[in-house]
Amino acid sequence: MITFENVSKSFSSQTVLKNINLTIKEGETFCLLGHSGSGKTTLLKLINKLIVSDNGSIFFNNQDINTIDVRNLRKNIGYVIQSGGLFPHMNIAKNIALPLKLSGAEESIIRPRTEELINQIGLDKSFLNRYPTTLSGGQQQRVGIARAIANHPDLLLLDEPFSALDPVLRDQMQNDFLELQAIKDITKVMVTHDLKEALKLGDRICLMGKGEIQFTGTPTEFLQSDLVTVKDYIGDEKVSLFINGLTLGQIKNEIRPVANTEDGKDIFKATDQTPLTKILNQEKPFVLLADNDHIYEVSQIKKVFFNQLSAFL
Amino acid sequence: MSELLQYISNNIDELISQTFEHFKLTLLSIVIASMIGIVIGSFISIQQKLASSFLTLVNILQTIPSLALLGFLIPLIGIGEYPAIVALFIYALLPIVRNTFTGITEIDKTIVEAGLGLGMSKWQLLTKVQLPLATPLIIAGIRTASVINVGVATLCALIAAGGLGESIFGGISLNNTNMILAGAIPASIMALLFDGFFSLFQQIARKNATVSLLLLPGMLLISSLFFIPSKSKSKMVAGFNSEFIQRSDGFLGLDSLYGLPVEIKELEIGLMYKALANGDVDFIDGFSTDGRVKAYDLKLLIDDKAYFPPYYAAPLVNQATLSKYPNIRPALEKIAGAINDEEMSELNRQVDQNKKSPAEVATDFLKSRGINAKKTDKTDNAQIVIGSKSFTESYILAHIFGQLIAAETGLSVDIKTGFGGTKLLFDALKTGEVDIYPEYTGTGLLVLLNPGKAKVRKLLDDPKTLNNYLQEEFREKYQVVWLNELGFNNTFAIMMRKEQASKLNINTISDLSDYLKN
Repeated sequence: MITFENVSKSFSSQTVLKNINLTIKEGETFCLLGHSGSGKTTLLKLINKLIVSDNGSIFFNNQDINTIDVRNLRKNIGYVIQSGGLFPHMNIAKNIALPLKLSGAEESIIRPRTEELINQIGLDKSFLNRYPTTLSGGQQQRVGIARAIANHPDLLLLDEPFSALDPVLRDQMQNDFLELQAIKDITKVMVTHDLKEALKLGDRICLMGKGEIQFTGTPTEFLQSDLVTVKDYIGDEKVSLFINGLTLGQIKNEIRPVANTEDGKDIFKATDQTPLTKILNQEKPFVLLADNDHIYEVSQIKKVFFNQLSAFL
Repeated sequence: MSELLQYISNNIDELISQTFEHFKLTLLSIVIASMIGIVIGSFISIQQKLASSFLTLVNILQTIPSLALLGFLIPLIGIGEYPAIVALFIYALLPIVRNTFTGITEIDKTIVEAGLGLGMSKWQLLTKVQLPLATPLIIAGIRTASVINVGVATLCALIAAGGLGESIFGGISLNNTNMILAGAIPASIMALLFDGFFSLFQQIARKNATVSLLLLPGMLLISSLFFIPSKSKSKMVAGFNSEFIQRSDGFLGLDSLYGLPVEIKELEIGLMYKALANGDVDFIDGFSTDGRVKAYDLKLLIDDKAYFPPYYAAPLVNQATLSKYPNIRPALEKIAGAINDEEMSELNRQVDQNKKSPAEVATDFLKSRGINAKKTDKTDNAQIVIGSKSFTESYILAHIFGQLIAAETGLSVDIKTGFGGTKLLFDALKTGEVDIYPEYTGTGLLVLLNPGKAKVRKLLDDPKTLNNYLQEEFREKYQVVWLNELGFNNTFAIMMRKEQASKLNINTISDLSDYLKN
């Protein structure tokens, strides 16, 4: 869906991105992870041309973005920023409807679509007449997402969407984000500096550092990587990978499946004592038994895993 | 207090029309400045490279003193409402431009990025996001500008634009406190009302920017009601200063003696000659020894019915100062009777046309009389303070007095120029803040003493008794001493452009009256 070919960017004399080559696949959630100053936000803004690259080409649906009218490009790319970026002088209905209005949609379409969206993000219709400042941070962020997807974009860009929220709310929003059907099939590129968030939400993680891509791969591959840069990054957040006093190496050796399913998959039991990182590191398909009475299929494992993980922390 | 109420009720029609004019000047200039200021402010927020130069420019415009600005505008757009509105517009521009610019540029960057990210054009971003969010600050700018303009609009009376300044400056020149208050109080109330009105709108704008945007069209609608052109009915237009219009020995007496049906515009003394030369007015009440009479080629009409009293200039000295420094008297007597009309006129011309400084002209004059002038100091604790009114001749005389006293007595002398009227300066003399200033016998009699019409007539018939009368009255009433007159008589004179006067064959005030009546 998106391809970067030899893209570079400097601000005055400072190089922010060096020779970036990258492919983002249709339908995936692609997390740009990195410390501040790593170039991850610049990379994101290159996609909707809020920042224009110096060299190289960026392709969106196989079309060079420099050949697309910038406003049409942006109308096809949803953009969610920290704390929502809602317009304080417009009520929620107007905020959500703005992309539709900008595309020239008629009022007969705008109204039902707005109501549909507020429904999808789990807010009541009465919110439509309220102003952003009267909403909580989490509610504002949901409205921000609703506004970003109002026009059925092909791509959703999220710039540290949850970082302004307090930890409990952030966790809640991340879960809701995974469950939100309206954005399930949209390709998403998300900037974050939060390792847990990237592991939890990302289909693939792209670690950025000093304007270069250090690593690209799945969360499992990320946790297992022997690259110094990746280990350093995890090292920073070591605490999140200590579970009941066990390090990653210990977990690998000590965890054992409690049973097998009929078709031969391992069954793990998720309890407070189970360091689930190990489960994520399993190479073959498996089933997770959580809370003693729910069985989750492999595709849902990440969700359970990180719910539990944050409970430990 | 009761005198004030009496004055107000006697002049209520006049005051209402002045208040209305004042409101009109302020509102119109604010509306124009708002529209243009918001456009400029928005423009420089987009073209930020131009921002600092634009802001510097409006800043400089703001620093031009109001009267100087009005003076610049006379040759360009004449006198009356238009230059007044232009001047007020210029003063209103800075707060509006700056607040618009600040309001737009200080909007949270993420909000701007959100707008661009949604695919807004720069114009959509400006009109739908930036301007609505900047509205409370923009209205704060308009609010500041309106309060400033209510104040500056009083000065517009000096170029015939009307307004409450007519009462305020009239009161200052006529030594009439009630008249000053009758102009100043409505002006203050108007400033408070403007302030309150815009403060209300600011609050509305914080809640709902869109509603507050209706403010501008609303103000425009109200001010458009004012664009009802008024037409002059008389054949000629006279430009008089406020003192001359208000004083019973000014235009009122002149009119009852000669009969002059004419439309009158109020003008500041310094701007009057320029307005006449420019053709904005057809005759003025000038001073016979003014340097600009020659410079602008003006004709003095002969006062064939001897209406104007004599205005001999003389140093007016505080009694206490004179007792403390008795040397002052012989020093000033060195120039008693030393300047005739022609010479004074020439000294004025040196300043008005040849652009010499009054101090320079004073030095040259004293040299020509064999006196080596001594420069005066600019110190805070000078022994002698000399004052002057705000016109050329008064400046020159003050410098002559100062340099003469410094040279002859060795005292330290400071010169404070440009007092805005007879009342202010004379009050300063009585309290001793000013020790000496040049005054005219006619003004002393009619403005400062004002002994009643019959007495005045009697005194004017015999100039010798006038001197004694002034000496005695001033010493007893005010402890102020008149020294010997300088020699010239700078009386009021009606003057026209030479070219027009000869075309219409007008030589005397009676000729003028005949022309106006037919």
